[in-house]
Amino acid sequence: MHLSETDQKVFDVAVKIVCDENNTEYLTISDLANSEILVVDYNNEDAREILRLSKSHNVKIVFADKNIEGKNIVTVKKPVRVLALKNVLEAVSKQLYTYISNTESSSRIAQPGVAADVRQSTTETHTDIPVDAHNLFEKLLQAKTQQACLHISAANLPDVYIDGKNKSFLIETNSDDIDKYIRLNFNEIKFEPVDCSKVSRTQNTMHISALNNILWRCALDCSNGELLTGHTLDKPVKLKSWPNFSRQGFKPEYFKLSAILARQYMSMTELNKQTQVAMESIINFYNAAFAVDILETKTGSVKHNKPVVLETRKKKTILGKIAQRLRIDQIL
Amino acid sequence: MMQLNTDKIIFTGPVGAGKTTAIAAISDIPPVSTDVSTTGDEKRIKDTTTVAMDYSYIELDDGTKVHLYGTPGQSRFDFMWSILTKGGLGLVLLINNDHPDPVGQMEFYLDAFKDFIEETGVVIGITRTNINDTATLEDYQQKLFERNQIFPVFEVDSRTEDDVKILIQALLAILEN
Repeated sequence: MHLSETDQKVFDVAVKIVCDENNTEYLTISDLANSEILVVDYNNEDAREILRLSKSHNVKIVFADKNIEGKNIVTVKKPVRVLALKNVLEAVSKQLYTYISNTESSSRIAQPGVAADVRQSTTETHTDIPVDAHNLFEKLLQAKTQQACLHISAANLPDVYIDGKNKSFLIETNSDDIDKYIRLNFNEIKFEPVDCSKVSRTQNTMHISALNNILWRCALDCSNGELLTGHTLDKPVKLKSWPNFSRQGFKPEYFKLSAILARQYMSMTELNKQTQVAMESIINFYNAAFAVDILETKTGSVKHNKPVVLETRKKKTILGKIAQRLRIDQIL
Repeated sequence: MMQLNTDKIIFTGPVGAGKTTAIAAISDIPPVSTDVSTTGDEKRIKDTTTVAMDYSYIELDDGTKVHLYGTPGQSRFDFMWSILTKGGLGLVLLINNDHPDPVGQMEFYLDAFKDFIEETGVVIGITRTNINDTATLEDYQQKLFERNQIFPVFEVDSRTEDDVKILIQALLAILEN
């Protein structure tokens, strides 16, 4: 694993907590390239080589300063914290347990090829392993994905409820007050799971907004250029519909990204190359679009449409002049 | 035949969708409109409507004028639509959400301007969403998805300059990209 002394201690504690909480006697993790779970420190050259040699279907937990792309790689941002690592280990071990159980039962049925199929489908889902939320956006997205209900509170701020089942956001005052939560440090916000029937009962006294509107705002303001865990920069994506910019936050470059992604599949890496829009903005936009369910992905290579060529240079120039005249800040 | 400049943006949509108001929100001069009394069902929506067209312009810094044309709202004047769109930069489609079948209205105009949209681009503004929320933005997007079309659809107040600018901004992004 080639972990630093501190990371090794953090790792040992996280493993112990997972074993104790789940009443598990063992959790076997090694530094061999053929291990089911591989834990490596990306800052270590030898560890990077092990990662390179590892089998693609194995789960790789990578301690790194930035998001590492690759199949079945779960990045744990440095400095590694016990709780974050514990959650990752728990999710991974559950997935693995499901896989082993399925493989064993499949082999008892003795249908050739079934075990391999199960393995394939299991490893495909590893990229979506839920990890502990790092910010308000990820917490809200978790609630939506898991259809959970949450009570959110903080000192001197109005109470907020999230109804993950009905995809709604409830606040005592005005939905714009979510900005006050966004400005807080994440650890100053208290999250408490609540019964969804309790949330329903509060509806008459609260202002209700679509959860997607809030997710969009939070994604843009909280992502800070960090891609959602399990997502990669190289997967081609396309918009299913345009975001509703008239009622949601936007930056001028989001029009450009939307116009391109409404027309064709493109990965974030390609978008960055083609548009010169900062990768941080592209990732924030991607996170927001993913969170409000307007992205579709495609596996494999894609053929890019040729950009629409405007008839004349004059026409192209006129568009820029219109934008300038109307004081529309945009990157054309 | 009337000479219509090619540096122009076309505003279209049914009676009462806010085409004249949207043009007024961003243009340099008050729109010149040719309004007459409405008849039939349209009388219920609006007392007067644009017969031939609305016209105004934006003067660019170099003196060039970008012409803004609003098509007649009543479909019995639809012969004007192809004349107005010829050589235009793009289309702004405004739909009044207060209409009994606003999504159907959107489909009607997308079909009517199909060729022009394919040549250029379209952005859709939904007005009066505060008055009637029978159709949501998702309903419009769902219909577009079924038609295999991905166009920008925004809730707008055509009286608000910023809202109309968002439509223009999206249209320019489509035309350029």
